[in-house]
Amino acid sequence: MLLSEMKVVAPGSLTEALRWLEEHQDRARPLAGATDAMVRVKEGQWRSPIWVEIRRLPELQRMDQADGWVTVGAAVTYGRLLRSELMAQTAPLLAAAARDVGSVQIQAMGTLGGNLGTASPAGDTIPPLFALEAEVGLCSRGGGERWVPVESFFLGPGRTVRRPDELITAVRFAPQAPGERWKWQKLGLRGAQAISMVSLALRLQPGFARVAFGAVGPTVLRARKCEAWLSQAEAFDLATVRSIAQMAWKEVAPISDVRASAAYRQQMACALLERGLREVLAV
Amino acid sequence: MRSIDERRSSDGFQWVGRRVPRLDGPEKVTGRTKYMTDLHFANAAYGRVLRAAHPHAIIRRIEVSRARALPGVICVLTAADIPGLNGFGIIIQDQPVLAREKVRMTGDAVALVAAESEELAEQALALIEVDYEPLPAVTEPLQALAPGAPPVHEGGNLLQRTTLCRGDVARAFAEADAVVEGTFETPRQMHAFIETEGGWARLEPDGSLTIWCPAQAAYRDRLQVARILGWNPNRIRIISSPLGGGFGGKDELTVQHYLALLALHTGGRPVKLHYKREESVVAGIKRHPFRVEAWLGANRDGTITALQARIVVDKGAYASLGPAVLNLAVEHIAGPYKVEHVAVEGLLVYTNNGTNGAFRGFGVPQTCFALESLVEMAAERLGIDPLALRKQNVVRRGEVDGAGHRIESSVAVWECLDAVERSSLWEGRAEWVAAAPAGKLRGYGVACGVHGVGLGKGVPDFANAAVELTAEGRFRLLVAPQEIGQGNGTIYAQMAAEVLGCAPDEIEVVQGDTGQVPDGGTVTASRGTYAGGMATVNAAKKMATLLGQGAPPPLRAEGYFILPQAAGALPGIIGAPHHVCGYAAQAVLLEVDALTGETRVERVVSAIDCGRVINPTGLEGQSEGGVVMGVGFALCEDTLMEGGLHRTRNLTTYILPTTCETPAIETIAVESCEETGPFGAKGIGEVVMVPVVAAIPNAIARATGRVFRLPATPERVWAAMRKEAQQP
Amino acid sequence: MISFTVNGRPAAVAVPDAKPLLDTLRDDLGLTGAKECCGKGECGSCTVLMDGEPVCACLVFTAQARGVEIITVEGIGGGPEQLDPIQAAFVAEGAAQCGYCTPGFIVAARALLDKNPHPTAAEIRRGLAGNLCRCTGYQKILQAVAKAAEGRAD
Repeated sequence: MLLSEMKVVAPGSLTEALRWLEEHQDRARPLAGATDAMVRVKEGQWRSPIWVEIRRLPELQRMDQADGWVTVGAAVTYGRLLRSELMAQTAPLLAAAARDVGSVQIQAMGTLGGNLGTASPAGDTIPPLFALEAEVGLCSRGGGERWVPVESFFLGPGRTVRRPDELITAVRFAPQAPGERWKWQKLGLRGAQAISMVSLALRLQPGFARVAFGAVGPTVLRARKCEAWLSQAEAFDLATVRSIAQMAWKEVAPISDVRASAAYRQQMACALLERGLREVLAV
Repeated sequence: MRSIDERRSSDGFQWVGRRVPRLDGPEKVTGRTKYMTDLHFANAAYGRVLRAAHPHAIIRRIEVSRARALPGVICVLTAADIPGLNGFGIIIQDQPVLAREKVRMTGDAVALVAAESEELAEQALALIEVDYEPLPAVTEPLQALAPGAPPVHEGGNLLQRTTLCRGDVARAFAEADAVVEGTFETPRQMHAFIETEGGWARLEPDGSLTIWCPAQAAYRDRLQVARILGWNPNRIRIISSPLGGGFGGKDELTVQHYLALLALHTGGRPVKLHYKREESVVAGIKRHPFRVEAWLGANRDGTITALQARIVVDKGAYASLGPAVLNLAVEHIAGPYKVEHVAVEGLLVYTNNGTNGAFRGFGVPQTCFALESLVEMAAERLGIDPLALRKQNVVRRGEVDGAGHRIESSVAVWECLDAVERSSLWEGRAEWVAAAPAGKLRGYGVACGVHGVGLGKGVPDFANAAVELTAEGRFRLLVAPQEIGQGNGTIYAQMAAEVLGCAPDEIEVVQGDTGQVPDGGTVTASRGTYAGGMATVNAAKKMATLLGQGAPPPLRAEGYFILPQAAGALPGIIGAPHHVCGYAAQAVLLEVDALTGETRVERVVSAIDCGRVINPTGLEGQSEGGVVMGVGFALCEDTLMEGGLHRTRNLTTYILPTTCETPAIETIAVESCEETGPFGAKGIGEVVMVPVVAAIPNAIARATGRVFRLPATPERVWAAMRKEAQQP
Repeated sequence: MISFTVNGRPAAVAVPDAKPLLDTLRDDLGLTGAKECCGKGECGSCTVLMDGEPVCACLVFTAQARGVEIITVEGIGGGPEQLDPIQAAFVAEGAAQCGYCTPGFIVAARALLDKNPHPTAAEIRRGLAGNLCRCTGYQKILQAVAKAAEGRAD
């Protein structure tokens, strides 16, 4: 398929968008911010005959809080996330990660739904969503709406449970507790505009801990042993923090690539956790 | 020390030394400047280049009939369509324009296509069938030298061996109080000019050929293209300025020859080529990776007595300017130090790792990293302050440098070191290090360096310029060196204005168009301001004489300048020594994350011996840009290859410094007044990035552990840190 | 036809839907201020404002621009004789060298100051981190934007 042969359709509503996906199945792809899509197209991949533009669909723009859920529409951009008052109050961890995605130019176009759909293990908003135990909303014309826990959403790099006729419509999660300690950390090859070598989303309350690592496995991973020890620890001194952080070594499964070796990534998972814990616990 | 701006009032110059804003500034900031790759012609044809599918392979057969048959394809060309020499290269023409029997890198061009659209041209590439017989790829220079290694070229894999020997190193090392050693490796740095290679060509109705292509050597490019076409060079016009960056990467031919060949087969239609970044990465030259194994000896009193080094250079597949790069690296191996006993062997080795060539610094950053690391190690071993040790050993005018060359031109490297020593950065360094926050390790580092100006001994080097006074009463300055970003057009206008008694913005400056400017050589080798400037001054003086005689416009005056050559010689090293050199000393403050090995350069002071400042803003621009390019070389930049294939394919994986990595940089101008240069100026375009590449690893060593391989990525710094921690 | 507004004027182009907006601006509308350097959204040389937001035009399908308002560097300031304060500061500070990245920086800086007229030094660094420059080392660019911001405060 040549680039010049690809069509972009611009449905005016979610229903219409779902109809395009249902009718064309594998021949159609959703098009949100295009920040990944255009890169793949230029590389000769993703030469989909039909692109269904969803960036401006009103149904995908929501950011609200009701019934214990914070819901973020799939077409909400990183820029909106990081500037949102609601996010600052309910999910500062996610907002912090959004601030580290690409550049202001990418933040202006790239969307939360797109980050999920691309399903890169290094996607920066995904570890926070794991730590928030978020659910991903999928919608199809035939099957209606279903909510999938974010941990079950990813099958592997670039692969998710989304069916071709489905659209990611939103993400929902319970808000972070007021006074909760949290930390987003990203290790890249430079300070800005870098793809993660390792990233960490950390949440800590008395008796509660969530630790999720990005870029150290085929998907984002929860470090459940670390979480268990963190939630059971009675006091945090430096030795305790270090020994819990060291456990991360066994909970990640990185590979070597052009950015870093597997061994370094594994060590850095521990290092980021140690640094993050020391910062939020002031030890 | 007076600041740049304070000094000028006493000089009596009207324009020289002033912060004249760039004449091309308003056009550039509004997006009006038309680069060669911005041009658009009606009825255009679009070209593409087919690259080799293997890093090393025999070509059995090339079949282009299916590509030719595709509707919309205008021509498909192979080696058989080259009328003249199927080879190019500034020194040795060992690089085929289009590969015929063999490919030696994945960047090799195998066929050319012109079509009605870029998309059609790309489709046509996919229809060209090339039958390859793959050969083992030669990817490690040391293995390439081993007996039985597959030869990249028929003559074997050793392209050049350069040696330098003076004194008695064996005895000097035996007598030295301290001997330090190390093996230092440097990255395959990418020029990463923002404008990738591209341009246009058109066969004119009169049978001549016009090429629009950003380039650093239009006249030489014209000769190379003429040789490939078998044409009289006078039938070719090359328009090459302005460039969207070059840094040496547009010194060799880039697309001019492909454009020329295509334009001969498009029936007079203008043809365009413009590389995507991915093609630029594969096809374009890079900085030669060096492996420098070296020993340095010094006495307890701080005298550096001996240096021995073995340099192995990954040439990549083709010579380009590699032989000259190695020679300059050997010439400057001892830096600005008076080392009496020196033995150096440099080997330039063909591999299938793409191809390397000219890059700002031209072999000197690579060896400076080795030398200045060793100097630091020696200072530590001897318990001498590293800056004092350097000041004690640097050369002064009339003295003999490490290469055995008596310096008979301006040199202020001691003064550069002194300026660094008096800077607030240096004075506050210990305090800054002590104030490291928890989890961070801090260090400071310093280094100094030297870089020749011009092409050096035994290589003809001259510049010409012309000044015209039009019938309308406007001055036009015609000068060859291109506007590559450094602002030389403004510098030339300042110099001409100083001589002619007008304002710089009253002079129209024309650069880089062989149809208009006289041959004035290249915009390379730190020679733009020095050589182009002298030709400009000489032309302007002649114009002033004509005006003084009352001659009526239109008038034209030409001036030339032959670069002075060093009195001595370094036998066997073409291009060495250089009569005139720029010098610099730079120091950095750097912080390392104790857990991850992440680094951050906080501040840099950059003292530059530039002879005379023509434009302080321009000098700072060179200094700041050079420093950050050095930061990239030292900390993050490398084009990774494996098995002759690029793992780094574009700017997603090639890590350039951004606004977030750039340190605060203070530039100090140290003026030594070079009497052979225009108003005392000499070239500094390269030396500005030399010392910093060693000052940074020196700072890392002080903060944690020493790195011997650049770039010092977080992973490498982390490894060095662990090694240091494990030492008793 | 795909219709949108460029620099305040209506534009309608007959190009493939997926043609990068950058190519449409350069090839079909003659607006060559925005440049291609990486083609992958890493360098910011192609930055334009799309409904006021800075975007990499190399990553936008032209069809996505249907109905939007695009501002390119040519639409900032009144040309070389009437520079925008950011452009004037770039000239005064020597923030443009080869100039190929400059249009992208000008547009990104305009977007930054439009949203945040008095940015801190760190905010300027962050706001321009999506734009690569190989000549200047960035210091003069950061100074120029800071200066332009101060000028607006006067």
